[in-house]
Amino acid sequence: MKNLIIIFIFIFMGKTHAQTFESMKFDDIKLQYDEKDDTLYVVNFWATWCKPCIEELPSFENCHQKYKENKVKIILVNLDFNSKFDLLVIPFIQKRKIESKVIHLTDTDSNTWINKVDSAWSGAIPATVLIKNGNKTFFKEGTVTQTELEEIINNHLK
Amino acid sequence: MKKIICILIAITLKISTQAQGYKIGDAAGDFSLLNVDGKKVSFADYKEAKGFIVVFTCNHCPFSQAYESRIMELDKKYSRKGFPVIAINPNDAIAVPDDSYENMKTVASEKKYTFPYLVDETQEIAKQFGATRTPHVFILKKEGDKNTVKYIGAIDNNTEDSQLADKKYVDTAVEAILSDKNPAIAETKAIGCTIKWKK
Repeated sequence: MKNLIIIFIFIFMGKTHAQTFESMKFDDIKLQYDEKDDTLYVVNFWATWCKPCIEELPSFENCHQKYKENKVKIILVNLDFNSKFDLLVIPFIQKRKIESKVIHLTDTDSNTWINKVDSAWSGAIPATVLIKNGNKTFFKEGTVTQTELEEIINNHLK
Repeated sequence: MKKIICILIAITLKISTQAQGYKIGDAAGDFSLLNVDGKKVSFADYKEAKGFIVVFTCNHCPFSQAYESRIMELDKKYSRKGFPVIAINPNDAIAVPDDSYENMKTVASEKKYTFPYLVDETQEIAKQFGATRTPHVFILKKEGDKNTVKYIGAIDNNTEDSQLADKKYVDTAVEAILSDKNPAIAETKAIGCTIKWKK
């Protein structure tokens, strides 16, 4: 009985945490960030094995906190192998207490969707794209600094 | 004022040509890069070759590691048909110590690479090709005294599981070139590790 109560407590605690772990195909992720709801979607493509990606994650987390009251939504699209998501990525997110929305991309053939993000993207990560009402306003292959991010976001909030 | 505009245009053009690298149909320039055996390698050394499978790759990147045995297979399959693999590591060893020349030697000998594994110390060749990630493949065909770029992109369409890859881009492209055709799919994209440029 005691064990059961402990398990229930853990489940309850888990529910209070904002992070949910979703996996989906690119087209479904795009539907989310193309939503015409006046929200600025800041979408970052990353993986746990990508050092520059990990180094810039705090910038996205800081923006997630800073712009909580604004119509700004951070989506971190995870590109680790499908077999690594439960094993590696979920513990990574939990350990670092990442609160921005993380979605794992399940498509295995990246040639089918990279150009749908931006035709200028070669496929190297990190890469970041900003979209509002279905219109892309920023794309960058490579690291984005916190200052750079804030500047673009602030411009949109004016 | 006119002068300033001209200079600005010239600078912009220079930047854009540098960033773009080779396109399909361009002639790739030769190089002389240090191999893991201590010798320099150039395209010109391969008198019998009909072309080359140039792969920008490295030690540390999980996507390069995932493709390692497939790159070895490509060399086994196509070097005897005239298209040897030439692997080039463009990464800054200061940024990624795993990709140092010493570690390249270790990997090449442990895995028994049958192809040269060259270090692009100045990163000039990666820039010249327009390589941005590892792995990043360029297939060249010898046409007279030129090496024409015929394919740029990924090895196949499933990094995680080679068994599930049902589009073998490099194989298909080399086969097409061998039968004197241009590859039907000449450019593809794939997720990969950013080349670690010197700061």
